[in-house]
Amino acid sequence: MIIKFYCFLAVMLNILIYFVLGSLITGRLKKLRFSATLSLITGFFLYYVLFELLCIPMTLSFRPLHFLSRIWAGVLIILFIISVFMNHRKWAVLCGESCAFVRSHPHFCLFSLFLLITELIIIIGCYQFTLDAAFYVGSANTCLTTDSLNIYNPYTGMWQDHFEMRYFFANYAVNDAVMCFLTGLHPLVWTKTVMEAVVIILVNTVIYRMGCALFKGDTGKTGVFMFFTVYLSFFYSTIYTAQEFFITRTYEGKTLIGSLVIPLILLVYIKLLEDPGYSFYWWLLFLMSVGSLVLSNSASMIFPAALGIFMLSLFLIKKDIRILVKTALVVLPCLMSVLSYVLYVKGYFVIRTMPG
Amino acid sequence: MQSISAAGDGLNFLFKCIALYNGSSFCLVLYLLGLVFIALKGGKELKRIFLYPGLIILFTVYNPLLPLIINRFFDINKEYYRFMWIPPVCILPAFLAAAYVMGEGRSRGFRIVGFAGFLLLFAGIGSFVYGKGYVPAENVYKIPNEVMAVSKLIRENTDMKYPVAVMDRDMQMEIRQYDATILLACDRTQYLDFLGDVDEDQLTREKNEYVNRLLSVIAKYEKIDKDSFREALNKTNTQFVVVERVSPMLRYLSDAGLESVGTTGSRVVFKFELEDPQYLDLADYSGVW
Repeated sequence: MIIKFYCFLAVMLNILIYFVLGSLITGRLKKLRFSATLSLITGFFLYYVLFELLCIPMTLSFRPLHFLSRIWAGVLIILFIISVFMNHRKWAVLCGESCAFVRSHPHFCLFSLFLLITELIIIIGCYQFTLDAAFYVGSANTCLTTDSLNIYNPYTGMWQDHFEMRYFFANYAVNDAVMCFLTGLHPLVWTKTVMEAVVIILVNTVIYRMGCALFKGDTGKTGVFMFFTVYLSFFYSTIYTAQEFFITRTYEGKTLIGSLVIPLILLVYIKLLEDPGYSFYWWLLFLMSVGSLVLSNSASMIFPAALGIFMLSLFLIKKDIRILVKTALVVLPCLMSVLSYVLYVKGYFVIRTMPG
Repeated sequence: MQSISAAGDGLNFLFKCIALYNGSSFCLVLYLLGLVFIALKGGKELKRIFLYPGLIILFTVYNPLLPLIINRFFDINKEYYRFMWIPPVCILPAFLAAAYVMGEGRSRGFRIVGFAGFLLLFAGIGSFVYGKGYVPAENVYKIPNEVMAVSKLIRENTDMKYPVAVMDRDMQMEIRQYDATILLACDRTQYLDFLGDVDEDQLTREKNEYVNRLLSVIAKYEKIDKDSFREALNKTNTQFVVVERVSPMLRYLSDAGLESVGTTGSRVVFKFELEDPQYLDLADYSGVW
């Protein structure tokens, strides 16, 4: 029971961190009203982009996990303080608005909460066996146990003489290991309970915002839309669908690509239809581009494809060449990741795990 | 999608991919019907949101030529299906259903009947994710208790900090998620390739020679020469062998000189006395730091 309480606190901590980080960006926006859900989503990707910026140099300099963990904790604390200083007034206003929203839409709020809790109980309560967990959870546990960053083979635990470039940028599991080090939770508990809950909350947040965008804020229709979307997900099930990944492989980084990133691209596309020049959404897409690479190396192909499809549509509608230029810039990190992997596979370079 | 390949299946690759991806579920059909509905009845805004990207998706992701083109540059046989995550297959039907049920002027009774009707429709056209049963997690780690029991048995019977083991497939995939101090003689790809009889080139075959001997016994139940098996254990520094209790190799393992150090619900843990045990430790990076 105590560990479940710790898990609850860890989930809340994650949500708080994303919200606080996201507020650093969304709190500065002039055109958009300050939003908790938008801050949460923005903060999630900002979190992983910042983590990557710290993790890659640490990995290349063979630093131990505990060193990265302490530095990362320090960075988060500093950003937390800065965000409190910059956004506390906005948060106070948001609290008031949120309370007013709950009072004016009690049925919608209760219904959404019920839907979310039901998903959490069903998905987290289920035993999930997938072969890929040997990588995603095994990698986090290996980094934690060996106090190192991607130096040991997660499948066998044996030392590797070079970094596997396929996973070099996908440091989602390393972040899991870092958070396990900081919280003291076992990687299995962190990945299969805490992060699962976080992912479910984030995916539902995107579905909620999608409903708001499609139904112009009509909470009744949005509630039914959310329910139908979640319900249908439980019936679109083969071992390949994004929905199956979301329900049975929630702890895997690539699940987030199918269940969070792609629906979010659609949501941003809907927003860009209204104002294709609004820079915030392009910056959000850029954060998503880099952040997705951290979640899973699959993003290096899927993200450009998904974004390309929606932005090509936007270009055909708006007939503005700048849309294509911005899209190309946004997907550049993904394409560079593909290029580096191809060069590695072709034998042009290798990064050793020991200097000299 | 191991069973299909763009090179082998040609233009049929995409259709086989779609069939495997969707299985017995008709959600994709529902999505396509939704696109047709919007094309015929939808307003300008809905067409912009769903129809135009939908058409581009049909001409790209669902274009039989695309996987063949990509396959010239990258091996996408196993992963092409991930492009099928792009169309909003659940979002569009859910949106249309919600818009219909909650439309202006609908009575309460209509909404309830419509809501229930769509629930039945969605359930009817899909395949339920827990159709084969819902298995509750046995513990907070969400792994079988057996994995923890095997880990404990290994820990109790070794003086090594990082003992090496080889196990049946499922245990092999889960043990290091729980206890990463237990090392494994072979990695996941080696194991799955061996089970799937994937052709290995000469170099790989030589590299995997000892591991393949171990897997022949553990995973394929082949009674190879016992000296050859013991040599493979020694060369890979493998101290523990974990097999299912129903494995036909229990007698073979005992005859090969391995000692059973304990059983769990459905596993037997064997220990092998290595001729020249190597006490593995972590690489020393203190000079680097």
